[in-house]
Amino acid sequence: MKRSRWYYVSLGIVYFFLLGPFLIIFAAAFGEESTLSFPPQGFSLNWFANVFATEQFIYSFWTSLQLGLLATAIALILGTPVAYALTHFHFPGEGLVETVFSLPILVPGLVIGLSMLQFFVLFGKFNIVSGLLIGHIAILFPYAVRVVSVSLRNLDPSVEEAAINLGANRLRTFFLIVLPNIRAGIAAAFILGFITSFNNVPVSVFLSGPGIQTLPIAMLSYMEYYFDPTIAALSTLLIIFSIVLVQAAERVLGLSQFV
Amino acid sequence: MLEITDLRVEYEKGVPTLDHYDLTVHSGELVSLLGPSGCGKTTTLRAVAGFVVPASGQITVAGRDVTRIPPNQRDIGLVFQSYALFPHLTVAQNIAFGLRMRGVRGSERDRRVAEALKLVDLEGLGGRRPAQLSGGQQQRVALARAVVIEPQLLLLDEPLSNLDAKLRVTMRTEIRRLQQRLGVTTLYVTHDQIEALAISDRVVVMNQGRIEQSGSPEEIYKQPATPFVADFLGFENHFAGTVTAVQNGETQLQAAGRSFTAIHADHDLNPGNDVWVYFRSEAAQLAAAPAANSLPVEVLLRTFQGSAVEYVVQSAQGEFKVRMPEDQLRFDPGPAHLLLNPQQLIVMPKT
Repeated sequence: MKRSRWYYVSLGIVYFFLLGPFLIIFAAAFGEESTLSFPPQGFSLNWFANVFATEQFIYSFWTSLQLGLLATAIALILGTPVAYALTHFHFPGEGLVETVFSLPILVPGLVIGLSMLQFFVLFGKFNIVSGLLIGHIAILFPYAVRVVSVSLRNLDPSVEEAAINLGANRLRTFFLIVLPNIRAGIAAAFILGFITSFNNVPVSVFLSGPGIQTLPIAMLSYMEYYFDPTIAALSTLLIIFSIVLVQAAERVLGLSQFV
Repeated sequence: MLEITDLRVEYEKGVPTLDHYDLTVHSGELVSLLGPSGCGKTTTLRAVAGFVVPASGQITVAGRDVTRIPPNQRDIGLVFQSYALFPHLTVAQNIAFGLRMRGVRGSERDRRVAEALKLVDLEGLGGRRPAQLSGGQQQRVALARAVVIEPQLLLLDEPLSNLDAKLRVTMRTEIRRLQQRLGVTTLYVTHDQIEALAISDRVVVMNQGRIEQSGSPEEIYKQPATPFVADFLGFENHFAGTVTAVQNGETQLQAAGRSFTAIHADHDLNPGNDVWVYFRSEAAQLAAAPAANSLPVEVLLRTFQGSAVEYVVQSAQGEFKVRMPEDQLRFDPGPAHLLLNPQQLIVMPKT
């Protein structure tokens, strides 16, 4: 089939606007000048060195990493039973439960962040770390429920019935039969959840506090004072980090069948 | 052995899928539930397995009331239509699962798994995963997994419907032989009349949550009790008539101004009753001249089918299909006479 000229033109436009910004950042990260500019002048790896020399970034990277891993794990531990209930039982208020659990996807992040902050202030006693953790669990929870639900729905219900028929109770059936067969879905949910948490700004911005920042928040505050290519270098590293993570997941698990 | 008494199952409140349902399966017997989809046959099976909780009624297995016993404590083997093998476990682990749940371990477990593998001719395939097996092999694993626990009752839910036609015939023989060898009481669900007739000691024909007829395969095939059973068991032809006399096991009928004789009408029929007369395409013959029990017809179509020839004929009673051996006199489109065999006319009251 001969493709028309318009096919290539529209494809070019899409790629230009999708990838162009990334390419500019990528190129700017290697410039010598101390302001972010494009096209870059000269070539230097100093800004990458600067990323690793900036304590703020290193600390907040670890914060984000730990927060992402822990929040995702908790969201999955809480979300899997919910997904199991939603896919296995019919109960009054089922629709309401599903709606409530998808609220954090539907409501703008800033609104969630603000409401969380108000809530924590009103009910006091929450330190910044637990506030951040609860906030992140809340935004990851719906993803966990959804992705796990999808893989539960893909499992033939008679496989579970076979286990029950052979003498296993529901709990043993879940751990011996269901869980091993939704491993890939759980792993996919984990990676999606982790990336969502790792990239989150609107909720973290309200819940961060003195001394405790996530990486995106650290980047925002850095940019308030400096406008040098360090940010571009860090962004480049983060893009590579995300791509590697998602590609690995796609290879191993076939991530795209769950989302 | 299996006793179902006055069972009522509702998926939706007030709308029974099964109602006033009674069924008995004797020890060692293979009974098939035959019927179209939605007739309640799978529901019956699921109620026995415990996956459907009945609204009322009682189910007993070997004298034990299991109506309220959870499905994992019923000791009933179940083979699913989709086989439902555990995809992440090997064939041997699949078969061992029920034993594992019963606390059978070590060499005893290994021995019984090996025996089960041998029983279904899968020796040497214990280490494979279900996905590496053919459909027929998966079916055997499902069978082995169900019988290895030595259940009191074996349930099979359309076990052959995912296999191709040739394998279906092979597997159905194998299932029957296995069932007879083990002597296990078996309830078999199918929508395929040939399968039900071939495999069963007794066939129970179901329709809309009720039992239409229960009997040996021969009875069901030759003496359908209701129009539904006759249609479902492939009686191609029927016409309406009125009973004129009943005596000496013979029923005299009148239909469209002609009289017929039918032998072996099981129903209590009285003169004046409106009836349906059913007959198979093999139960009639074309002839050049009229005779007793014949009616004038117009041959519309002749189809050669190898060993037989099928005719489509038109009569005052409607259109009929007639099947005759290939070596008989040939009839081309035009007038002829249809002879009905009185032994093979099934008469049943119109309701």
